[in-house]
Amino acid sequence: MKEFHHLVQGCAAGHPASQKALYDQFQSMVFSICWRYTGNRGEAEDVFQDVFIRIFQRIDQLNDPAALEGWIRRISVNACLNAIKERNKLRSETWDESLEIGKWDHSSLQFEDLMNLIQKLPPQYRLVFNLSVIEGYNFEEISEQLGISESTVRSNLHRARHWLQEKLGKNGF
Amino acid sequence: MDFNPEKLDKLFQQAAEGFRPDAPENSWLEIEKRIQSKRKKGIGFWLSIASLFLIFGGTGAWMFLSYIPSNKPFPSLAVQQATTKNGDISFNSSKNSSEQIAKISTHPTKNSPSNKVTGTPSSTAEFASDKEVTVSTQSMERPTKSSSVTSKKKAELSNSYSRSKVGNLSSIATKTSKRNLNVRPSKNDVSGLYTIPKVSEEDDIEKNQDQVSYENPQRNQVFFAYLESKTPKLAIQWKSRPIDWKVEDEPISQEKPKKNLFDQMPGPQWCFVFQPEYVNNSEFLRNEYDQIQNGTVVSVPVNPNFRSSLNSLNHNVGFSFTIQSRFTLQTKTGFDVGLSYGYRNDRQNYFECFNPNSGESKLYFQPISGWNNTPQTFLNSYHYASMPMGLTHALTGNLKSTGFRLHWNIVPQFLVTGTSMTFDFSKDGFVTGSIAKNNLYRRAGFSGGLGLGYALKVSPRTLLETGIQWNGNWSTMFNGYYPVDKRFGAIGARIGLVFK
Repeated sequence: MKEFHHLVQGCAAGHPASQKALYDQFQSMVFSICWRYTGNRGEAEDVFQDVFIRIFQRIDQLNDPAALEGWIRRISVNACLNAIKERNKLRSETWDESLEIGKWDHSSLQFEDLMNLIQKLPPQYRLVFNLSVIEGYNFEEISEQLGISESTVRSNLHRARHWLQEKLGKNGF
Repeated sequence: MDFNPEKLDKLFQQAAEGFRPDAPENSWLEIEKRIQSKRKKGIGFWLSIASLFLIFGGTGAWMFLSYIPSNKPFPSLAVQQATTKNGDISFNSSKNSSEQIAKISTHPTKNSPSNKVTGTPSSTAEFASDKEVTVSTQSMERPTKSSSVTSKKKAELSNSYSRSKVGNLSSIATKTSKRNLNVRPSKNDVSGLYTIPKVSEEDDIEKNQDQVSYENPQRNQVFFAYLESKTPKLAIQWKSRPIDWKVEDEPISQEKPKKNLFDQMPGPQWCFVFQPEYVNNSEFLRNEYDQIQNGTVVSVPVNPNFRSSLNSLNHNVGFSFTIQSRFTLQTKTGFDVGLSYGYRNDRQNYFECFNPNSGESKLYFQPISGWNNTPQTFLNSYHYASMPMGLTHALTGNLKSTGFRLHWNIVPQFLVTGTSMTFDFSKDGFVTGSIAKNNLYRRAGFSGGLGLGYALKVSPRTLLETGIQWNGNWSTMFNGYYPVDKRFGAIGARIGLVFK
């Protein structure tokens, strides 16, 4: 925590070395979140850069350095949600059911495969699943963030789970 | 297949925790570039602000400095009195800087031996004869600002007059014993020479050729004067009467001073007024309601985020753009009338007032849109048109029109359109709404203002006015309960350009 304290102070003062250290510390986590939400690597890279720009711009507003990781995670999620909203304004996101994942040997099931599976979820399910299961938001918070009712959140989450279960079941999980 | 959500969730949570892909290699370089570019933008912003200050400050200083020397009175070229003794003319020079008048008086003796006088070509030649009397005066260059130089010029001028022989020249023919010929500048500009229109002596005997003329190439650089008379009677009178004539020095090369200051002259005026507003609804509420209820009322802000203190007030901004004309009432006072477009953004907080005596609890404020029994906060933004009418008075000023200005105005206002955003406490944010026609109790109102400004002439036909303006909305635009500006009104900065 003390390390975070210095890191936050350095970044707030605009020291490049501290910024680089913070980047090295959290880049994989942030990129993972971006990729998981956006669903494709190219868009994830764009959002990823925006996230760090925002972090460095607003880090002086962080009162508790101990909450740095959660704060970064929250910024990342919000940035991803904003990016998705912007994208949806320009075009309606299509979901191609044919993008089925191939069968795999679940004995050698990798984290990346599971993450790929999440990205194959229909967009509305993917967002709810990410926010609820991975990030731990409650239904009320999700409904506020996505602008949908809580009952819709519940049903989408339920369907997302079933969809994943089904895909995993096909692969013998 | 069993469906176990918890197991599924746990699996994916573990996957999310364990899945840590590396970001692209060049990402950090890109981020670094963007950070640096944002830093540079920040520097650029402050540089541009500093540049603006420099530009305006420099312009102001330049205007100020260029204003000071030109306002200094001219050193005296005046030779107020000249006396002649035995045909010689001697001058007593005195400084008459305030009026900047060159006054040359000659008092020839009665027994001048000759009616024709010749002087040195470069100095003074005065001619008088029965048929023709001419006084030709060629003065020195206009004195410089240096007093020593001025004295020197005066001495030269005096000497040149002294050397000349006046002869029979005695007076200009008037019925009065003393004549003042005030020669004013002419608008006739011939080849750069300012020719003074010939001044005829209407009270002369035959209203004929008796005249005085000036030619003043450049501003007092060289000074010519001719007194001509073709009438014997006039020549006789000149012999017995002193000549005492004045030449106004100051405005030779300038137009006749205008009656009014520049910015008080009739003409269109464009003003841009920007006014941030500071509103204290809560204090207004508490005081008013306490008075009504004899201090027994407890008023509670609907939302604790909006405390009833000045520090919690939101700075509600607005601005107006005005095009107006100014008409002269007096030398320093003008009447302004114009049309204005304005925009305001007011936050109105609602307070629940509980009266322990009556047990009544109600919201005190009436919003623009809707009368609601549920606690709410409104963020109203609206566009309005107004017709400002007012007086502008120059506290200080001069021919350059630079100085302090005082403004009073009264402004009828008319609501054009607007929106009212309602604060939704469940979502902790504003929800967009609109101001419906039925929600309006009153669509028009009055405002009054008082301002102090400073006018700066930036070009011969352009004046820059800056200053502060206080506008009080005592009246009730929109509806009878509208509390905004009741106490403080709107305080803003005023900047305008006056084009004549």
